[in-house]
Amino acid sequence: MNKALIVLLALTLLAGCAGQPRQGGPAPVENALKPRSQTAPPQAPAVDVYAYRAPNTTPPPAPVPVAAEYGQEPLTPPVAEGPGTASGRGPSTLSPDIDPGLASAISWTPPASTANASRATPAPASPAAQTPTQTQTQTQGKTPTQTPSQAPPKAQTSGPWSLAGSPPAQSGTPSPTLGPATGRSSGATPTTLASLTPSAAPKPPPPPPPEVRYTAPPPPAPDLPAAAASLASQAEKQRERGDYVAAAATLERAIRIQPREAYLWNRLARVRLDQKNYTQANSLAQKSNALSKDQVQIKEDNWGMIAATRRATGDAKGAEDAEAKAGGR
Amino acid sequence: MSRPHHDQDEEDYPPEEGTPRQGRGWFGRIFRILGGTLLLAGLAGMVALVLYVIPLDRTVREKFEGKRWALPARVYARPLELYTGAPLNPAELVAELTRLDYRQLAQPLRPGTFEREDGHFLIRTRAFHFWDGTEPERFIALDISDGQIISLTDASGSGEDPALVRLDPVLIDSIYPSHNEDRILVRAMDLPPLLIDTLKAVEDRSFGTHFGVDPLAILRASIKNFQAGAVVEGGSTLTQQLVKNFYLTDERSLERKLNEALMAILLELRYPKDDILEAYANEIYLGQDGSRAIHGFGLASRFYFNRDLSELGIPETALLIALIKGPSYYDPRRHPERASERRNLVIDVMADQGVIDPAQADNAKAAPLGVGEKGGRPLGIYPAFTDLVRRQLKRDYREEDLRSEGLIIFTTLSLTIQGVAEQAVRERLPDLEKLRKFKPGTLEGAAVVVSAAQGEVLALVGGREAGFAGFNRALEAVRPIGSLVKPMIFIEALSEPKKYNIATPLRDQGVSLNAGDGKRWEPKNYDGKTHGQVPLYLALAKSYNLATVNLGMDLGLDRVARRFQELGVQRDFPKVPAMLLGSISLSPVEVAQVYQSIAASGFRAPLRAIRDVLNTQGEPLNRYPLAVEPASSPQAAYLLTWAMREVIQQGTATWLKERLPKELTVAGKTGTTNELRDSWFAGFSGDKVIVTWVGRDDNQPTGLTGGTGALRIWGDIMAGIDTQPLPDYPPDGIEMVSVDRYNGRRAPKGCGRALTMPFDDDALPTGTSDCGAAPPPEPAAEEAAPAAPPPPKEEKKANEGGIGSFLRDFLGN
Repeated sequence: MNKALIVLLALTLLAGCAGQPRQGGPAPVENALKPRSQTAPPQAPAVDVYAYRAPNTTPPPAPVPVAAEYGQEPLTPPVAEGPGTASGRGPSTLSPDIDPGLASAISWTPPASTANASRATPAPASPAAQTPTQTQTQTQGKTPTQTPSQAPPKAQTSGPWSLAGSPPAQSGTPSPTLGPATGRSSGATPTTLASLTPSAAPKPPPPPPPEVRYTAPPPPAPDLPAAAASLASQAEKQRERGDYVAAAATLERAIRIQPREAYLWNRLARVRLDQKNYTQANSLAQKSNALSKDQVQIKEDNWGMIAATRRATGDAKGAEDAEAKAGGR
Repeated sequence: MSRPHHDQDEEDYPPEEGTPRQGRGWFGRIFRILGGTLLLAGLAGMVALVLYVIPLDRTVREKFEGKRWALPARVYARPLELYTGAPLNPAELVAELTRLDYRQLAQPLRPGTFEREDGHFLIRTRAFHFWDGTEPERFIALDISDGQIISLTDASGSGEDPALVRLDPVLIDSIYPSHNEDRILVRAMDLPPLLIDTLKAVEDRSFGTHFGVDPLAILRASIKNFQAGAVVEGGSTLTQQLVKNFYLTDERSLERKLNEALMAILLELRYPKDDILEAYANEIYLGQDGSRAIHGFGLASRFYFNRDLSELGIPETALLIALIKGPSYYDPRRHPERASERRNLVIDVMADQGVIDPAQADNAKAAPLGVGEKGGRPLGIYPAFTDLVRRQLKRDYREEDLRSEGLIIFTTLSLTIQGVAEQAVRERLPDLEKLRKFKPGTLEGAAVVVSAAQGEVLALVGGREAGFAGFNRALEAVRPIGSLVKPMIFIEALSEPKKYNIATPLRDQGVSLNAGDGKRWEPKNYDGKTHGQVPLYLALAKSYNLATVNLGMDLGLDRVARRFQELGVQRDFPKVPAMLLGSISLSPVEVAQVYQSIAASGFRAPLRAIRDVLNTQGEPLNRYPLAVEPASSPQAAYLLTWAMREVIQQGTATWLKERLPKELTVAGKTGTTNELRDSWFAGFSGDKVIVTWVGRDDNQPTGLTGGTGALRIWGDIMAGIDTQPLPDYPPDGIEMVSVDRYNGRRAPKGCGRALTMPFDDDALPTGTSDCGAAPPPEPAAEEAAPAAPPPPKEEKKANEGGIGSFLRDFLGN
C-alpha cells in the first residue's frame, strides 16, 4: 500500500514537472479577471470596446464623418472616466495603462466599434476624440449598414445613453426600447465597421487644437452648506493634483446636494477644461452662468473658461467677446 | 524524481524480497531479459501515467488559476447621503435602514445596527466600497427635525464630526450566471478561525498534514462503512471534496474516483493549503433559493442569517458546517429538527476536538437555529427600473460578462422616491376607474422621476403592479404625446425674442392643411371654439390647438423638428403638420428627457440610470459622468417655464393648486390624445422632473384628459417627495415687466389686467396698454403684434409624411 502510494506520488511529481511551470502565484480570488486574457482567443474581444468615453477630450472643430473619427479613436480604455481614483492614477492614463487582462476580461461590446478598436494599437488619447455625446451617438448609432456618408452631421441627438434607441438619422425603425442591444449583439457589426474604417492604417489625427492654458485661480467659494463645501474643497484638491476623474465624481456628488449652486458647476467646467474637453467645459460654464445670479466672480471665471474653449476650437472672435466679459481672467 | 533505483528494481523481482541477487548463467540471462522487459513495461506504464496525469494537471491549473467562478453582477440603488440639511424624515430613514437589514437595538454595538428615539438616531454604519473609495464604518448620531437632518455628529468619541456620511447602498438586482450559482467571495484571511477549525474538525482533521488524500481516513471510513453495512462516513479530504465539486461531475465511477485522488494530490502539490481552503470555502454548495444555488460560506451566512460571516457565533457556524453534508436534507427552513440535530452533532464534535469548551457547547446547543428571512438576495421588487439598467448594461457589456464578472453597478434609483411613485400609481388608478366606471384593472399607468439638473433617473414605474416584471410602460408604452408637444414648439418661438415674446398674440383660428396623404387636416380646439388673437403664454396654458398649429406652421416644420431633436427626441418621426399637435409617439422616459432639457434651463443632461461600474475587486471600470449640452438658451427655457407655470395658474392643470403646497411652484403641461386614449402630464419643480401617463394596454379610450387622469398621479408624486420650488430669479438677459395680460403691452399704474411677466431685455414690450378699453378676448392691436409672420406654408410642408389620416382631428388638451 505504502509503496504504491510512494510510486503514485513520484509519478505525480513527475507529471507536475512535465507541465509548464506555473506562472506566478496561484490566482488570488480577486484576480479572477485576469486569466481570461490567457485563455481567450486572441482574435476575440481583445479590446472590447467600452460603452462610453468620458468627456475628456475635445471634439474636432468641424463635424467629421463618424467612421473617420472612429479610426482615430483611442483604444482600449474600457474606462470612460479612467480608473483614476482608486488606483491613484491620473486621468491621463486612459488607454495605455489599462491592465490588458482587465481590458480583455471585461468587454465593452456596445458600440459596434469593437472590431475597429480591437485591431488598432492602443494609442494615447487622440486630441480629436469626442464629447461623450458624440461618442455615444456614433457608437450607439452604428448599424451594420451605416456608411460614413450616412453619418449624422449632428451629434446632438444622443447622450451617454439613449433611451430611445438609435438616433433618427440612422434608424428608420424607431425602437421603443433602449435599443442598441440588438445592434450590439449582431455579429456582423464589427466586421462591417472594420471594413468601413481601415483601422490598420488609421488616418493621421487632425492637427491638435491650439494649446490653451487657463490658469486663473478659482473664484472664491460661496457660503455653501458643510457637506457641499467639504466635497467642493476635496474636488479642488483632486483637480489640482490632476486627478480629474475623481474631482468630477466628487463634484457630481456635491451637485446632487446643491444642484443649483453655480460654483459647483463652475468647478466641474474647470475640471473638463483642464482635461481639454472643451465642449463640456463650455456647456458647463454656460450652465454655471445661467445659475450664477449676481455672483460676479463666478461669472467672470465662466467667461474666462468659455473664452479658452472658444480659442481652443478656433473661434477667435468668440473668444474675444467672452474675454471682454471675463474681467481680465 | 523519477525512480532512482533502477538497478535495484531490475533485480528486485519478485518484489517481496529485498535482497539483491546476482544473475548467474542461464537463469541470470532469463532474469535479465525478464527484468528488462519488466523495466520497459514499467517505464511504459509510467509514461502512460504521466500522459494521463498531464491533462489532469492542466485542468487543475487552468481552473484554479483562472477565473474560478462566474460571479453575478450586482446592482445597487443610490446610497442615502446623510448630512446636515439633508431632507429626510425619520420614517424614511428607518425604511432605508430596514431595507439594508440594519437591526434596531437598545444599544448599537456592531456595524449594521441602530438605536432610535423619535428623531434622534444612533447608527453604526457599515463600511462599503464605492467608486470613489471606501466609506468607512462609523458610529454617528443624527437628529432629524421638520423633515431634515439638523445635526450629524460622531458618536464614537474619537473622531471628527463628519460633513457627510453615505450609508451602504441597497442591493436591488443581481444578474446571475446561466447556471444560477450565486456566491459572495470571501478571502482566506477573512474566513473566521472558528469556521475553519470547525470545518477541519468535522470534515477533515488531518487537513493540515495530508497530501490531498488521507489513506488513514479512507481506511477508517472503509472499516466503519463495512461494519455498518452502508456508507456512513466518507474518507474524502477537503481537497478531494473541492476537486469533486470544482472539476468533476457527480458520476460515480472508479475512474472518477481515481481522477479525484490524482487531482487532489496535484492540487496539493501546486498550491498552498490556504488557497485550497479559500477555494473550498467559496465553492461549497450550501443551499437553494428557487433556481438560485447558494454557494460558499459568505453568501450562505447572508442567506440563512442575514449577517456577515464575521458576525457569526458558534451555533450559526456549526449550522453552516452541518449543512455541508446535505443542504437540502438539512435545510433549516424546511427541516428545522433535522438541521438542529445535525448542528448539535457538529457542536459536539467541536467540543470533542477542543475547538470550543464544553460550556460553550451547551450554550450553543440550547440556542435556536437563528435562521432569518431569506437574505443576501436583491430586493428584486423594482423590475421596471432594473429593466432599464439591464438594457443599458446589455448595450454596454457582453451578456456573459454581466453574468460572470461580478461587476458592481451603482445606479441612480432613489428607493424613497420610487416608493412614493409606485404608491401614487397604485392608489390613483382605482379612483380613476371608479370615476369612469371601468372594471378594476382597466387602466394602466407609468411614471418617471428624473433629477432636473443631472438627468438621473430617480424612479421608474412601469405599471400599476410595480413589483411584477412585465410590460414596462415607462419604457415601452410608446404613445402619441398630444399636447405635451406644445412646449417643444413654443420654446422654438421664444428662442427668437425679437419676434416672439411671452405675450405675443397668436392666431387661434381654423386652418386647413394638407395632411400629407392627399387629404385635408383641419384640427380643432378641444372646446370646439376659436379664440381669435391669444397671447402666447395663454395659448399654451389653455392648450389651444389652433394657435399652436398656426405658430408651428409659421415657424416651419423643419425648425420645429430640429428643436425636438435638440431637446432630446431621438426617435424618427414624420414631419407632418399633425406633429404640431403631438402625433409623434414617445415613451414616458423619452418625454422625461425632453422636459428635463426645459427644466434644466435649456441644458440637456442625457438621462442616466447608472453612475459607475466597478469590477469585482472594486476597481473602477466605467463611469457615466454628468454631461450637459445646450438644448435651448437659458432665457428661452425660462420664458417657457414661466408660461408652463400658467398652465397650473389658469390653464388645464389648475387642480394642482389644491394638491400642492402653495410655496411649491411647478411648471407643466397636460397631454391628451385622440378619443382620450392617452392621458399625460409632464412637468417639473426646481429639481425634479416627473412624467406620468395613464392609458389602456388595448389602446381603447380612457375617458380621461391629461388634467383628469395623469395629472392626479403627477400631483400625488410631487406632493409626496422632497423637492424644491422653481427658482424665483430670472437668468441674465431677462427682465420682469408688468404688462397687460391680454395684449402684452406695458400696464399703466392701477391697471386691473396687469401681470408681471418675463421678457428678453433685448426685446422689451413697447407701447402702453389702455388697459380695459379693448375687450379682453380680442385684445390685439395691430401695432402690438410682432413683425408680420410669414404666411402659412402648409402646402409644402405637409407633404413630407404619409400618416395623418388617423390623426385627422387630433385633439389636444
